[in-house]
Parts: sequence; C-alpha cells; structure tokens
Amino acid sequence: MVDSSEPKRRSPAIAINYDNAPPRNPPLLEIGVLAWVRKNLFGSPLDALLTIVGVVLVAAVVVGTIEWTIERADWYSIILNVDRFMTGRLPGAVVWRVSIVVIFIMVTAGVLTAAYVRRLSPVIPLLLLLIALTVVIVPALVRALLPVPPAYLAAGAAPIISGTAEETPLPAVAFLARQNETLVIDFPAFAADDAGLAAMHGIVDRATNTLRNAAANRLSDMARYVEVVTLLARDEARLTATGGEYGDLTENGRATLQRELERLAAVVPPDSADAVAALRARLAAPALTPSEIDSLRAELAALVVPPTVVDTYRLNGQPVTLRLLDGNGTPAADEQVLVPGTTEPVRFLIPADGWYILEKTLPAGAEGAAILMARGIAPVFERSAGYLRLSDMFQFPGAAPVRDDDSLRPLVLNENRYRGDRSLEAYLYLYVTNFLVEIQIAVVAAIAAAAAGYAMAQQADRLFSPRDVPRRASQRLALWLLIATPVVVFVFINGFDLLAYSAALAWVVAIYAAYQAGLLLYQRGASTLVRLLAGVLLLAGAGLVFSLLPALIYDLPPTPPAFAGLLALPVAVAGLAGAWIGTGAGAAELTRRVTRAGGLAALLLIAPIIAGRVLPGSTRDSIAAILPYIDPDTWGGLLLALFITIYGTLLAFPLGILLALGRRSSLPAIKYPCILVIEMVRGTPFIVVLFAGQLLIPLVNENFAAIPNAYRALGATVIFVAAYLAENIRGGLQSIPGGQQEAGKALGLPEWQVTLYITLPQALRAVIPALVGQFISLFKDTSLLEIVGLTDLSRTVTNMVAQTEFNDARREGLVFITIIYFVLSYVIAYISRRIEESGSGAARRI
Amino acid sequence: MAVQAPSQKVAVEQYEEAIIQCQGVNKWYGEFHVLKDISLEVAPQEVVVVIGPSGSGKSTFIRCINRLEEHQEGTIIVDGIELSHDVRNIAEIRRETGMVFQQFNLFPHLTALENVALAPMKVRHRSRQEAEARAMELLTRVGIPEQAKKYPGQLSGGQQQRVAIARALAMEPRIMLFDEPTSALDPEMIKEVLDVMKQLARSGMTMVVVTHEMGFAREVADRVIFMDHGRIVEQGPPEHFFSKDVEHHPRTQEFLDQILLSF
Ligand SMILES: Nc1ncnc2c1ncn2[C@@H]1O[C@H](COP(=O)(O)OP(=O)(O)O)[C@@H](O)[C@H]1O
Ligand SMILES: [Mg+2]
Repeated sequence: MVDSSEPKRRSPAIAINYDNAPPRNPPLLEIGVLAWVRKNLFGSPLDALLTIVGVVLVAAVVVGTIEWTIERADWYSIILNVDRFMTGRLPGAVVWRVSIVVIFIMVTAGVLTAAYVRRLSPVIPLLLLLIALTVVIVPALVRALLPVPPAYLAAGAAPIISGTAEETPLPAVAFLARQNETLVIDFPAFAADDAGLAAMHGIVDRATNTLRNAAANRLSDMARYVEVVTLLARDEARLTATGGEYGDLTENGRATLQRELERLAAVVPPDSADAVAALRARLAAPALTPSEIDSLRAELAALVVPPTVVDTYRLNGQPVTLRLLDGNGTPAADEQVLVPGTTEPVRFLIPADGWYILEKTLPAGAEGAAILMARGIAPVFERSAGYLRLSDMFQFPGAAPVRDDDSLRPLVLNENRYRGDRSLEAYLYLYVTNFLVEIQIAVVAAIAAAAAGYAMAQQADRLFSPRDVPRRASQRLALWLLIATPVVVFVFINGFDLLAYSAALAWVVAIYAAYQAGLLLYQRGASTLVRLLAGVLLLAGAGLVFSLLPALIYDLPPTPPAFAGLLALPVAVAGLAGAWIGTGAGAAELTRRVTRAGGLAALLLIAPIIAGRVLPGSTRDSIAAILPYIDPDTWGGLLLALFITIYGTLLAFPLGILLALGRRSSLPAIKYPCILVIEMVRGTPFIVVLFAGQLLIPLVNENFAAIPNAYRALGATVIFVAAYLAENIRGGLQSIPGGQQEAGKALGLPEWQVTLYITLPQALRAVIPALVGQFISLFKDTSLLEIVGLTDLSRTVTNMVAQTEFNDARREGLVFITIIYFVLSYVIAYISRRIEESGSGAARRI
Repeated sequence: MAVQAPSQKVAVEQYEEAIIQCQGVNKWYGEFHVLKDISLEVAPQEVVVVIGPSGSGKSTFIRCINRLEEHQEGTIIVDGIELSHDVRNIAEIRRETGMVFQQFNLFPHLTALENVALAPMKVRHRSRQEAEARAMELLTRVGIPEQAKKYPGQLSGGQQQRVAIARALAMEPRIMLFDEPTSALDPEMIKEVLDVMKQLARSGMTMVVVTHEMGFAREVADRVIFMDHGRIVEQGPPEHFFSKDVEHHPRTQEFLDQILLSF
C-alpha cells in the first residue's frame, strides 16, 4: 500500500510522560442511574418520544385503575364470594376436604422444590414470608391504627324527597355488635351546610342517601340554571349580531335548553323572575368581555338561591332520642338524648355479643330530619350460617330481629352501601383488611405446608441420601408424592364409599399380581399353550369376581357381564404380558411377590365383602360418611378449573403418547385412524369439542347421559389435549437422532423396549416446555366451560352479579378472576422454567 | 485381562466354521448398488480391519452383519444363524454382536452405569443389582469406574466411546463391530480408545473394525480388507498392505498413498 516514492516517515521525538495523574471520576452522566436513564430512555429523540408516550399511557391506565380500586369499586362482591370463586357451590361441610388437598399439594410443592431446584433464590422464601406476614399483620395494624368507618343513619318521621325519590328514615335498625365495644353516636360536622352534605361519603342508609342527593341536586341545579340562562342569552346575542341568520345553537339545541330552563325554574325558582329577565337581557348584549359575562353570571347566581336542604329539614337542629335494645327488644342501656350544639357524643357500652336495636326518634310532632354518625355500627350480610358484620367479618348465627310493622330492619349491605368516593382509610379498613382476614388462614396454612415440605425433604436427604447422590431421598419422596397427588385429590374431592375404594385398590393390586404370576410362568418355561390358558383363566376368574362384587357388598344386582369383562381384561392382559416379557428374577422371589400381591388383593376384596355382609347398616353408613360422595355438579370456580386442567392433562398424557406412537407406526390400520383423530381435534375449536362431549357421549349409550356434566367435560378435554400433546410428543420423538434407535436395536432390545426406555423418555424431556404451555393454556381455556353449563370462574362472576347486592360488580369480578388466572399461570410457568434449568428436563441432553 | 471367559476360548478352538460367513451379498439403496457381491468369512477370534475411501460401503457392510441394514441378495450367517426376516433370528444375532458407532450414540438420559446395565436387564433379564455390578466391572475394565454416575453430556469424547464399548460388551457378545470408533475423537483421546480395543483383541474377541488407524491395523489386525465402490478389492495380512514392495491394485495403491502420506 505504501508508495515507495513517499519520503520515509520521520522518527518521532522522544517523549516520556512522568506525570502520574490520580484517576478521575467519569462524567456524572456516564454512571449510575443517570447513565441508565440517558442510554435506555432518552438515547435518541425517537426513544425519548416513545418513552414519554409510554409513560403517559401507563400512567393514565394505572392512575385510573388505582382510583377506581380505592374510591369506587365494590370489593365486598369479591370478599363475600371468595368461597364461590374457590370451590363453587361445594357444600360447606366438605370444604375441609379441599383444605386437606391444598395442604397436601403445598407439601408436595415444598418437597419438589427441595428435590429439584438446584439453587433456591432467597427471594422466594422471603417473598412467601412477606406474604404470610402481610396477611397477618396488615389487618391487625389497620384495625389498631385506623378508626372504624362510621355508618350514617337518618332519623325523623317525615319523608325525605329528592326529585322523584322519597324515603322515610327507619325508626329503628338492627345491627350486630360485640361485647365491650362502645357505640358512639354524634351529629356529623359536614351536615352543617348543603355543600358538606353533597360531598359526604361513607356507609349511609337510604334516607341519608336521599338527603345527600337532594343537596347535591340542589347545588348542581342552581349552577345549571345560571349556565342555561347564560347560554341562551349569548345565543341571542349572536342572533342579533348576525341579523337573525344564525346563533350559537342549533334550532334543536335551543329548544332543548328552553325546556331544561323551564324544568329548572320549577325546581330552583329564582327570587325574582323580573330581575332574572333584566339580567338575561344584559347578558344578551352582543359585545361582552368574558369578565363582564362572569360578573353578570355571579349576579344571576345570587338571585337563584332556593332554601337549603339543611334548612328544609332542619337537619340536626333538634334533639334525637336514642334507645339501645337487645335482639329481643328489651332495653340494653338507659335512654339518651343527643342534643344539637353539645360537643359530647352519646355512648353506649355493648354488654354482650349479638344483635342490638337502635331506636332513634325526634321529639313528637317535630318536622324534619337528623343524620347520625354512628361508630360501631356496620352493615351486615346474610350467609347460610348466620349474619356477618362487614366491618370485621364477625359472624353471628341465627336470624336477625324484625318487627311485624316493618319499622325495624337489619342494616343490610344492600340498603346501606358506601356512597361517594371512598377515602384510602375506608378502603383499607373495609376491604383490604377484610379480604386478608377471609384468606388469612388458607394463605398461612399453605405457605407453612410448603415450608414444612421443604424442611422435611432436606431432613430426609440429610438422613438417608448417600453422599454421591445427595438428593436421592428427597427425589424419591417427591416422586411418590407426585404419583400420590392425583389419587389423593380424587379421593378427597370426589369422595366415595371406603368399601368401593378398597375394591378398586384390590383391582389394581390384582393386576400387579397377575403380571408377577405371568413372569413366574415365563421363568418356569411354560409352553405357549399353558401361558394362553393361564390368560383365559385369569379373565374368567377376575370377570366372575367383579360381576359378583357389587351384589356381595351392597346387595346390588350383579354387574353386567360386559362391564365385568372390561374390568377383568387388564388383569388378563397383565398376566399375558408378564408371561411373554419375562424377567431374570429368581423363582423364589417371584413366588413371594405373587403370594404377597395376591394375598393383599384377596384381602382388599374380601374385607369390603365381609364388611358389607356383617356390619349393620348404620355402621356401613358411617363408614360411607367419612368421605361421602360429592356431586360434581357442585364443583365450581378455581376447584373446577384446576380439576379439569390437572386431570385433563394427566389423563391426556398416556392417550397423547399412544396417538403419537400410532401416528409414527408403519401399519396403515393404526396410523391413519390416529392421524384422523389428531387432525380432526386440532382442526376444531375447544368449545366445539366440549359440546361434542356433552352431546355425543349420550349417543354412544343412553346411560352415559347420567355421567355428571363435569366428567363429560373432562372426557372432551382429555381428547382435545391428547391431540395436541400427541403432536408435541411426535415432535419430540422426531428430534431424537436416529443413532439412538440404532444403538438400542444393536443391543438386541426389541422395538417396543427401544421406544419405552430410550426414545420416549428423551422425547418427553424434550417437550416439557411445550407440555407446560399446554397445561397453562388449558387452565386458561377452562373459562369456556361456562358454555356447557359448568360453574367455572367466569360463570361464577355471572352468578355473583345475579345477587341483588352485587348487580353492578361485574367489573370487580372480572378483575379478580384475571388476577387468579394470571398469578397461577405465571407461577406455573416460573416453576417449570426453574425445573428445566435444574437439569432434570431437556437440559440433560448433550 | 480377559474380556471373554477362558472357557469360551476352548469352545472357540473347537469351532470349525467361520463365525461370520457372507456369500455373494448385494445391496441397493433404491437404484444405487452399494454392496456388490461381497463374500467374506471371518474366523472366530479373528480381527478384521476394513479400510477404504469414504462412501465405499464399509459402514453399510458391517451394519448388514447385525441387520441394522437389510441386504437384498446373498446370505449372511452369523454364529450359525442365518439372517432372514425372522424377527427371532435378528434378535438372537443382535445379542451375539456388539456394535460401537462413530458418534457413540450413548443414551443421554441415563448415567454411564445405566447405559451399560440397561440391555442386560431388559434383554437378558438380569436383576438390577447383578446388571449394575457387571456394568461397574466393565467400566473398570475400560478404565473409567469413577465416571459411572455421570451422564454422557458430562463425559469427554474418549470417555463416552469407552462407555459405548462397555455397553456393547455388557451383552457378552461373541462378535464386536466397530464403525470408525475414533473418527469423531480429538487426537489426544484416540489412544485411550484404541488401547481398550487392543486389549479386547488380545483377549480373543472376534472383531470387525472399520478404521483408518493404520497403526492399529498393523499391530492388531489378522487381516485387512480394502473396499472400494461396494466391492472387496483386495485383502491380506497387514504386512501385505504395509510393505512397499508388493504390487497392489491401483485403487489400493492410490488409497494407501493418500493415507500413508497423511501419517
Ligand atoms: N440410507 C441411505 N440411503 C441412500 N444411500 C445411502 C444410505 N446410506 C449410505 N448411502 C450411500 O451408500 C454409500 C456407502 O455408504 P457408507 O456405507 O456409509 O460408506 P462408508 O462407510 O464407506 O463411508 C454412500 O455413497 C452413501 O451415500
Ligand atoms: Mg462410514
């Protein structure tokens, strides 16, 4: 490159730098938060613009949502329906079974974490601890530090009128109170003028609310009157200026305003119509400056001053006589009088827990009304177990006191709502606290169970795991718990007669025993004929037992032969499989296994037979009552969603594997039906498959119509999920290099063993992320179960809105289920990510 | 060290016939004629090294021996069992022949020990204890007992290939087939694998080895076979192949020149 004709480079002058300058800090804009902000938020003009737009959008949404949450949303809709959202219409008497299931699952989760998560980030236990503490401490703190939000009750005999609404205060109200509480009653300060009355917020009865509305309407009508007069006058001014060509308003607009003016003039009549007309003429002058208009409006406003609501009803101007009676109507304290102008409120000490009646009367013959601010009174909500006081969820059994003439009503939520924009204090006291109290026990128990499971697994490792496999004990434990979970969940949630479970267990053990017996035959070198004969014997024997069993236990008619045969088939198949697969175990060992398993199966079969024959009916009933059958139609909410999700995935798993293997089969008779099922289901929306489950299953056999709705939906779900799982698993199988299969074959493994022990396990590991995705999307899809008549979470919202108290609370319900869906999906996704990272999943591949 | 039981050696001496007999084997991939009239007999305890340019059909040929590939004409008789469509024959032959692949093909979801113990448990119905004890013994023989609990992904290439050899030996085969066992290895690991193979050869195992390791061929092979274009072009003892003064088939000469140049 260098041209040789160029002059040689000059050798540089020698220079040595002895200056040893101390290091300086980088410019302020290059480090820390400022640098981050500059680089990431305002890197370029476009970035800056996007940042600002983004922040504004987020702020708008967040601020609006928070305002709504604190000031206006009716969270009692959620708090009082938490049980519905969790378990649906599950009878209260069996909720303990759900609790046991939840505890079991949380223990399993703790053990799994200890066994498989390589390094538990300290954030997780801290977060859980924080949640537990929050749930316990926040309610205590709020109740200790904040005053109980008062209830506002109106008194007086005359009706209170606002527009067309008319409401007479109740002479007496019933409320729940607890021993040693003090009921404090006073005149509220805000009731001194209409502005205060209009701006009030709190738990108010209907009469008080009418007063509040009257004051608010009066103020807005007054303002609107001035507004309308001004608008019409300015319109006139424009008309004059344009020689009648056009004004500020259209013909229609003008006519509407005229009508409105007539109405307002009737509601808020001005002192002098003539003065108004004069002012209106001055306002209609064509060229007025804005300040001139303003001063004219002020003059007009001064003319429109109808009597205040406070004066009309002589609000809080008269003494109120207060009597406290207990639930039976006998006086519980001396009568007291609340006198206007005194600073001392009236106080009543509550002698015992229970219902109380507050009678509030103005002097005889007095016109007008009073608003009382009562601390210690809160609305109640009726539950099947009694009434619930909504300030602190205090529950008292039994009915509320009433009087025949309807002069006494309990202070129910429906008629005593929170009106006006709530303060943060009231939000915390009435909603946050009570919500936390409702879920307190469940949350703390669940977290404690997870912690216990974690600790237990670690202890197990310390005691039993060999040094080179430090987590063997916990991993075994986790595996067993995982296998047990679906069984435990089913037994507890579905419930059944213990005798039936014993018989079912006998069936499982019998299958195992038959397999072992088959192995023994193989070991003995039995001929093909003998082995086949044994299979037939097993089929016949097991079929006989199963067909007679219901008759022997319950005196029911014998099972139809077809069904008994269906039950006996797996036993025979297991026996034949054992006889052909074979094992290297010795004859002695096999004989021991056969006798043990066979004995156990016999015991499990005979026990219920003996119990069924020998036990008196009452004892049998009490055995059956330990875990009585729960009608699946009562399942709902999260319980139903999780049931369908977990069992849908679990049962779809073997079916999905079979479909995937079938689709890879070289036999057209197997391959094409599998393709047909997979593609048909995948080409159909979930809703349609659900409907098909509902409508087609009864077509197969009329008796199937009796299968509970939830199980029919489960069947449809299983097929739906299996089709997708099949494709995932097939993808996983395809991703296994061919060398794996060759290596297996070269070792002499038959093809099915190559699949079972080599390709399938690897394929399943490779598809774990897809499986978790399936699981989560199924969980979210359970919101479609509503359509086939099941009470899933979204149907729960619909049902909730049907309650009179919560007619307007659809939004609250949707927000709540959104949170449930999101939190659970996120947690599941997070856990699966951690398990993958731990190397138990696909990461182990080379 | 003896990988085969000594009693079997006696049995082998009484063995009259060849343990592998191939007669006029032809194979096509579609239209493409890969193996052309291959005839070969391998005596018990013989070590046969197969060399030849890439694509000449070496892999296809030895994969025919344990029926990973199907041949269309000719007969292959292994250990007295003729390869046919009968599934039971195939299973039996596969149990008698171990195979080691260029790409190791270890099962990544199983530990080294489980890799070795799997087939004896499932095919030979050994109990887990028995199979694992035997697997541990084999891992000791190939020199990596301390890696037993590791997964293949945690092992070096040389270690993986030695596990693969142990895995094949666990079925107690009478014949071992090696398809370029060292071609996927870094040079410093080749020796450890070849050492294991040499021990195996010395212990009397019948081996058919596809390899380009001429040092190994010279030291261990009883016979070297040169294949080209699906045909056995030349065979003889290693001395024949590696002495300069014999006359070779021109293709052999060309191949040898290339290979020996790169030494
Ligand atoms: N499954 C197959 N289908 C079609 N052609 C193949 C297949 N496997 C190998 N071949 C071809 O057969 C020839 C021999 O292959 P191979 O036995 O692997 O050769 P080598 O092992 O000697 O390198 C090559 O030309 C190769 O492209
Ligand atoms: Mg090859």
